[in-house]
Amino acid sequence: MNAETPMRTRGVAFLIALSSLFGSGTAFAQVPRETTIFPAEDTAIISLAMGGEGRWLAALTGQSAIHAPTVRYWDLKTGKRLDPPNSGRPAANEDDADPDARSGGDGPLTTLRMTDRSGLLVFGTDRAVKVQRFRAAPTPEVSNAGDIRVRTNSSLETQVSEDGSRVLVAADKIAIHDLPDGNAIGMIPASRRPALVCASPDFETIAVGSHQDVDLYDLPTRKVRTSLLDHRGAVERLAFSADGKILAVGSTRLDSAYREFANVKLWDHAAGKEIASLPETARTASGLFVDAVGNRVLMHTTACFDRQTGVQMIDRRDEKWVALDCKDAQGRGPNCVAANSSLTLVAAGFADGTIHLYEIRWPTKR
Amino acid sequence: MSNQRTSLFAVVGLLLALSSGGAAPLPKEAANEKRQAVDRFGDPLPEFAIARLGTTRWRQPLHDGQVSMSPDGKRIVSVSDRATIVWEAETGKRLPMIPTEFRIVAATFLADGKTLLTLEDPDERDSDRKSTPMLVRHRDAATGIVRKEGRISTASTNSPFNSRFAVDGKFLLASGFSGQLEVFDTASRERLHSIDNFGTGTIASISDDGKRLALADESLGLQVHDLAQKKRILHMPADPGDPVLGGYWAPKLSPDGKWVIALAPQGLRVWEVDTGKLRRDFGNRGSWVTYAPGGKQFAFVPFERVANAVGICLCDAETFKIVRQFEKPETSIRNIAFSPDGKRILASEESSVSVWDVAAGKQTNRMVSHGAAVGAVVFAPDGRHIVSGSQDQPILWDIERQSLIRRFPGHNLPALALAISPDGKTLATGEGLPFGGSHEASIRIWNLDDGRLRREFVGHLSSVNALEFARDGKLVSGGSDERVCVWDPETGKRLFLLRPTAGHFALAPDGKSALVPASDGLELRDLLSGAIVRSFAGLAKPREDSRSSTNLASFGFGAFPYAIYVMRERSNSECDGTLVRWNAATGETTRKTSLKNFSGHIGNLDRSQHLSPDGKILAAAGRLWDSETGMLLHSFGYQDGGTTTFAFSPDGKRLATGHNESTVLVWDVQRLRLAGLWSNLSPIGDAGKAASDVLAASGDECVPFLADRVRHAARRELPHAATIALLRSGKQAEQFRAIGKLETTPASVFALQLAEAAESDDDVRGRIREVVDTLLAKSMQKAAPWLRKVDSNPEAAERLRELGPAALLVIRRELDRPVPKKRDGLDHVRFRKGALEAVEAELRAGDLENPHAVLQAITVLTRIDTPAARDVLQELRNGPAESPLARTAIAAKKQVGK
Repeated sequence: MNAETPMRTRGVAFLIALSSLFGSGTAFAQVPRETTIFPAEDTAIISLAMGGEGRWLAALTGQSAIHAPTVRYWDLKTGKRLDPPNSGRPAANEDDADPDARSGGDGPLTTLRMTDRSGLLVFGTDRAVKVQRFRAAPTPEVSNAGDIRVRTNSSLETQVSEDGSRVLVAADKIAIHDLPDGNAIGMIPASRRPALVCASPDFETIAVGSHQDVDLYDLPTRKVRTSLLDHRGAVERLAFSADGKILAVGSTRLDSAYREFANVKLWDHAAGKEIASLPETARTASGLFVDAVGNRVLMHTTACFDRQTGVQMIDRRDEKWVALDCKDAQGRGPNCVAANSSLTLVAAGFADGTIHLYEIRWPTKR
Repeated sequence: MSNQRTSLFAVVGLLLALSSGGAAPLPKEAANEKRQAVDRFGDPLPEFAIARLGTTRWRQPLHDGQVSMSPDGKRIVSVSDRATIVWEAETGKRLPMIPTEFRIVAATFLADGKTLLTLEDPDERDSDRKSTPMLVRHRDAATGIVRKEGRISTASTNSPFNSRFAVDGKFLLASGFSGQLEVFDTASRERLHSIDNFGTGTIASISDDGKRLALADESLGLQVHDLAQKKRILHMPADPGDPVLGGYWAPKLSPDGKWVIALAPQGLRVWEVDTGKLRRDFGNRGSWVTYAPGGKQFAFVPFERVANAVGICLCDAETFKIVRQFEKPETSIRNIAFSPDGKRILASEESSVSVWDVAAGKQTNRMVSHGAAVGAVVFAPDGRHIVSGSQDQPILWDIERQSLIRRFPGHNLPALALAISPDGKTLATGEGLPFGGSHEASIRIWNLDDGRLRREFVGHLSSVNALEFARDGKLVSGGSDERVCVWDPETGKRLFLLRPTAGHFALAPDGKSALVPASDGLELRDLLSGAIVRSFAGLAKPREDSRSSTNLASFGFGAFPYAIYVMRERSNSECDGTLVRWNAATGETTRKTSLKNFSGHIGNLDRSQHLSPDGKILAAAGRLWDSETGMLLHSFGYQDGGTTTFAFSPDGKRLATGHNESTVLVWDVQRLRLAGLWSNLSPIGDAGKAASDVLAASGDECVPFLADRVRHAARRELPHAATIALLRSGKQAEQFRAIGKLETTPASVFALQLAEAAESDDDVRGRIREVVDTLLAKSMQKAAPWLRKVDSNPEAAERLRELGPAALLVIRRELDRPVPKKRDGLDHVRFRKGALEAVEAELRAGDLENPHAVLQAITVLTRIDTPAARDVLQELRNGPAESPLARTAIAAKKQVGK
């Protein structure tokens, strides 16, 4: 399939080594495995987050999101790892009376989200949303910026606004909290799978995916403003462009023989108008990123049955997806992907505990 | 039709009389054969069933157990955690169950051809000891009778559910939750080896010489042990990064122990045990490897991505090349075994056992039936035809002939949403998987007449849950994608979309609106505008978890415009049911009925029609309820393979049930209902009274049934209550026949007396009174001679006691009579003494079933009024708690209430 052709050979884009960052001379930059801290099998990268400007990188590592996960941080300008707050235990609980905390904080951590402008990282634990602040000067460091306590039985998903004033918390219900106080300032009357919730950068619009449809809630009125109907397959991922105008919806179609096909549609969500329906490609969209103005799309794909993963990219004016040649030493695809808002810097985390960083040079033909 | 039914009853009644009458010289079997209706294959139908669509031959309800064939090729046995079934290999007829009081965990025929070896769980667990004793039984292969048995003690803390006999019953590989795998010698019952820290419930394999053992697990990977040298000779570690698919599974050693075949993360692979070298990669997933007798070939079942069936592969054991791939089975295969002659392969499928000819690669026992559990049934408007849905293709049946008319092939997934248009010409089928998933699910439109596929379109993004035709021919569908859609079935065009809903709906009989679940109940929504026509709030509760909105399990319309029903989940797997009567004209909810003893599971994808067209019967969770009173009428037992789905015929006279053993049974609704009411009859309590009322109100139709029942009823079946019903129904001739049958037990008299007191109709009251008098006269005849002799004949008190509570009535009557002048005082005192003895003995025995009888006895004691009687009464009132008299009195008081 043409979509599998590596970008380098097609010559429309290429990868460069970020050797200056990490002092390695290999084709890709690699964050070394944390063998001194973790047993080798516990270091798979489960989740990654990168700010819009590509300033900071955060990674969730561990055997699984449930079993002893830990968050790690890097300053992408210097390539240096930052010390976590509270010397070594950034994860779930600081509460000493909490039995979970004593046992090493075994609690599920959910996807990391961060913004560069506000310098904030948020992630969900089993009962709270943790907010951490990054500071570049005088010395780069991470500090705790507060918790938002949440009562929930289900897993918790979260997102922080670009200006750092609001946090979305999606658990049993979808709520918006302000920062730094953590007060709930709005509730969306929908209860859906947390992964299918995405707030626009200004947090005025909340997109909630459900089966093949996406409902756009207006935060002030809490009402459905528009419904974007009939995506091809089940909606898997939602992503707003940095300017907030474009909503990318990734969906997976399974035909009745259970073959998977990833579809991406770009919407002018304010007008409820479809801008583009990107060509259908094999596999499931497990991560979706759209550039600042909604022209370029990067997708992390997973195949449900053989669990092969990959990274594919497209400019919506092109006809085909191109694959990023992105594998670990054992030839396995990445577990997770993060990108900056212009999709020029992409981080991929692998099961062997390495993180590869790619600089993407998109063609400038238009 | 009614004539026909009456004559049917007459025939059944006659046969019942013949078979139950002890003097009838008919051999028992012949009588049974005549008595029971049979299906097309000659297999008997359950009572009240009028047709079976499909067959019970080769069928097993939800089985996926091991199968094996006896060396003489005459019998096949299949063991699963549900039941152990034996078939006649020639015909597939089910043979009587193996007579055992325990659960059979494993079974296999021995090579001598005479013995069936079973492992049974006597359920003698001791919580302190960390072992479970198990029985190894040698049974006669033909009769199942135990010839010898011995005990083994397994280390499992619970039943070693995953135990298997290996190498023709020579070894027993036992494993359960203990994390231990034990190898026993079956003959000596000695534990040969034990391997600790072994995953729970994984299947192991042993070489023919018993020297090598292979086991596999999600976390330990694949291991082969040399049992003699007690060392591990092969280890393939699991991939820790992938707990789902990273492990190894179901290893199989070749009989010589040289090769091991197992499902690896990459697919089915073969290794040489001594070197650990990969010999063959089948490049696909597969399992259930089994060697042919002689070990020259082996077979396995390849997996496909979906639940779709894939044919068995036959391989050469030396070259590991696939020699033959069998044709596709009807459903997915769960387990296979070679016949002892190696010419056939037996495959255990979800609901059947298939037999395959090894040389031809073809199934030899394909039946005119579904191959898997029937998940949906729908009646055609003519009431004579049924379409049923299962994992395989939907089938059109003729009920009268019990025959298959047509299959509707083409769906890739099970089509379990079915609808037939009101004109009976069009069939709509919708596919889906029971466990959901976001696949594209198509809806197909067929000609029912000739089976032609008219149109196919993608209906929902997930399973199609329900389909219904509106009167105007539009098709309404509900899917797991939380949508309800209205379609033009001719063009496949979507006319209307309602979302989000729970993806289930019930079309109102006017076809213009549909009931859909709302946040706290139900809403009736217009299917053109989506507007809420009416809201039924408070019928359901929002659920804790965020994925599903309420605890609503099922709902639907009864006879429009006045009934809807709601079934709610009460706890994890239990439901309660409520019937709401609603007047569509006034918009008022008039009455709610709760279903009694309603507990059972209703699946989320329950596609049943629950309420009969006349609204009298509600069918759910494998049972039938009377919708007026909420009483339980019938329970479809496990002997029918468990009921999965219901549909009533348009005239309400027939009920079709889909069964796990892949058949549809069609029942006579009226007889089911009457039998249900009959079983609820009781002389006391509201339920019994209600049953009697409902029976009485059933009119003429119930009379032959009741008369038949009364005639043949055992004493425990409370014919007096039926009599009351008969008396109310006003059928004189039947009444007297019934009364002639009545036993003169105090229970029946009390019941009648109570009924008399409660009866509002003077006429009926008079009739009951007559019956009571007749019965009392009968009692008097029996008791009076003895009563008079209580003082002189020591036998008299004994006889009175034998007469039981009936004596109480007579005594009371006697006491009530004015003392005749002639009778001297002494005689009267003696009589009282004798009476007291009888009453006290009765009370002390403490087995008075009827609390009214106890009260009656107390009344008698009061009348006797001697010091001794007063003592007894005193004991009854305040007596020590341990006194049986006091206990009886307390229990009686509690039961009666006041």
